[in-house]
Amino acid sequence: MAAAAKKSLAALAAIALAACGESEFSGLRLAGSTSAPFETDAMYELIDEYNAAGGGPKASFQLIQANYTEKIQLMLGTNTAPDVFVLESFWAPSLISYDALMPLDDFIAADPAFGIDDFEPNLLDAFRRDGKLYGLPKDYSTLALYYNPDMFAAAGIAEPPGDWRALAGAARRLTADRDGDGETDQYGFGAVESIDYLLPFIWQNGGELLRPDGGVDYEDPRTIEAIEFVKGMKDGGYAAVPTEMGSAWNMEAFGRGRAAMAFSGLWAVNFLATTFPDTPYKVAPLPCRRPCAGPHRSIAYVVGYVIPASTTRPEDAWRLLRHLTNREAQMKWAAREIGLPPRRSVVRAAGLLDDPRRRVFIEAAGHARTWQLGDNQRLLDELQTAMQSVFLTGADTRDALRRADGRL
Amino acid sequence: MQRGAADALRAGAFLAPALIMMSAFTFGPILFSIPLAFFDWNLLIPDKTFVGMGNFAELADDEVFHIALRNTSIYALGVVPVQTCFALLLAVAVNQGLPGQAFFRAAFYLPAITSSVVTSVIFLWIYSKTGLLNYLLSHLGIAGPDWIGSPRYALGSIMALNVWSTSGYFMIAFLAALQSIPKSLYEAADVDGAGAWGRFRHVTVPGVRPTMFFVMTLGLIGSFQVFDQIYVMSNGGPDNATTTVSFYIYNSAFKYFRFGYAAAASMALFAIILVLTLAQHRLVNLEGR
Repeated sequence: MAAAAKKSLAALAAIALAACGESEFSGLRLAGSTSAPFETDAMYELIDEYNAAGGGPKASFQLIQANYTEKIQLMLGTNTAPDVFVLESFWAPSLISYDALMPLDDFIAADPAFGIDDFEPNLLDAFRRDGKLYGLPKDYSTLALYYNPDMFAAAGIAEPPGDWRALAGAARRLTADRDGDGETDQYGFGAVESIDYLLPFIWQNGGELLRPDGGVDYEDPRTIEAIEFVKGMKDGGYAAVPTEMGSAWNMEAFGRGRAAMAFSGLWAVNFLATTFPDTPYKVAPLPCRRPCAGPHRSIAYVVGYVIPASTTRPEDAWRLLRHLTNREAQMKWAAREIGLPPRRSVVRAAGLLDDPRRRVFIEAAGHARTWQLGDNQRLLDELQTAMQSVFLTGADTRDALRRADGRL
Repeated sequence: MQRGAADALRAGAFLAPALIMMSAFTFGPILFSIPLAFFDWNLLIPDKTFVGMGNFAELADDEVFHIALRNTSIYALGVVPVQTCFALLLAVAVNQGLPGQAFFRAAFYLPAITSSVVTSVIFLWIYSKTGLLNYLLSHLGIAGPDWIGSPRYALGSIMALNVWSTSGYFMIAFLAALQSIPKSLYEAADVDGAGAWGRFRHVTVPGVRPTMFFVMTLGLIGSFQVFDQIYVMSNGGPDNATTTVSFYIYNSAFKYFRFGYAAAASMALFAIILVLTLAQHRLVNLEGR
């Protein structure tokens, strides 16, 4: 009897082991999430080209659509991480601080043909820490000002606003109650109560949201003034957050004509083209704090490729990463209108600066800071909560920031 | 003896698949989370330091955990009584032998077997600023808010959704209890001159008391563990208005990489549910005597 039980247990264990064994793929694994089907196709195409070129183990692309960072974290923790994976710059500092990523400097130094100098230096900084580079940018977008030229013409405004005062003035003139029911149905500015949309205002005002020790600097008057400038437009009734406009996000409100101006990234171009093809729009640089001719401080959302420190074949992983970020691969990306290419030579070769829209996003990259908030992930949630309390419940800005700092 | 052993083996063989799966994916992790609560455990850092009661001490000072506890308590206090009463009323209603009652039984039960993610997404639309609920309210001359986007209404809206989606499930439990009450008791009550309310109060309610305990206990546990609706609909926001304990546990583990801290929070949640269930058991027993 006991022998029979043992036998059946052994059989079950064998089945379990076989199931695990089958999922082991001996080739290189690349993991990533994509924002659209055509981006997924482009990834598979890049991998096919890499495999066709030969010269190393075959690679495969593993698409992870939901809960991407959670899954990557579990894979890293259980030593089942892919050899190369896509990483948003926001998560880079914490993974670097846990020594989970491999520095790429030695590979890059030994490979002058790769052309690291071709990359926009600001974007490389997203993956740099203590002088070491842990990732290479794949694509990026900055924030710019979308505006509706028809609404501007109707309000008699010739130019997109160049500074804060002009932004507030234009927003006031663009706010309208079209059907005369006493409620605003067109807001001048579609604000977002999210910290990344407020950071350009804070940085332009000379503020630093974080103290050197990583906490929230709730005492900095420049930070508070910047947040309260946006809050003031909302309180004045000529800016509104998406929920007030019955929208899931600010560009939906813009597309439906509920907002005349809004900040967004290049991703909104695809969204507007497919969802609101009849809404006219133009793109301008973010307004400056004061009238300016020079740099408009913006924020850059960078996506890159990284290699986990635990990989067993760093050389092969580098070959794959190199293929994914070389000039040819980025040319392919540039042609597909996904993100913007971080290589300057690709921007020139693809003629992207001739496109009046993309030109705005690309020119902002040189003066942008990357979307990162230290390596404490809880900071983001606490700051978002603080901004929600300021914009949705009317809490005092300084108190909200101090509360966020106290919860870290 | 021989026969008993053979039976046991056969039973074991039938149990084995479920037992092995449950041990590997449910009981194992639960047991593992107990020691985990005493470590500073980050998946990505090889050194797991023993911190003793450190996680619990930090939890006691954690403002967001307090908010999560408060939200969860409001949630449970609101949802459990309403869903219990509602389920009992539904059960009584579909037990009257009225025409079309099979249809209504099925209709009331449907939300319970529909995926909670699906119902959450549907209610996200119903609750949106331009959604169905505000459309109906506009006929009454009320301009409704954005229910999920407003810190004031978000928790209440999700509570209402939960009452709607679980009442049907508990209705089935009450229905079974109602049908097991002997007809003779009602007849005796009639003879004694009891009216409809008297029959309900003195025959139906005592008859379903054990079921009531079952429903309230499961309801309480469900309320303290509410997660999917929060995750899909509001992400704990806005302004932490819907951050519940289980959502906070999830965030601590999978967003802040702090598994030990999350395990400590789940130990706290376990202790709360255990105490409340025991208290409830005591209360129902006392009243029953």
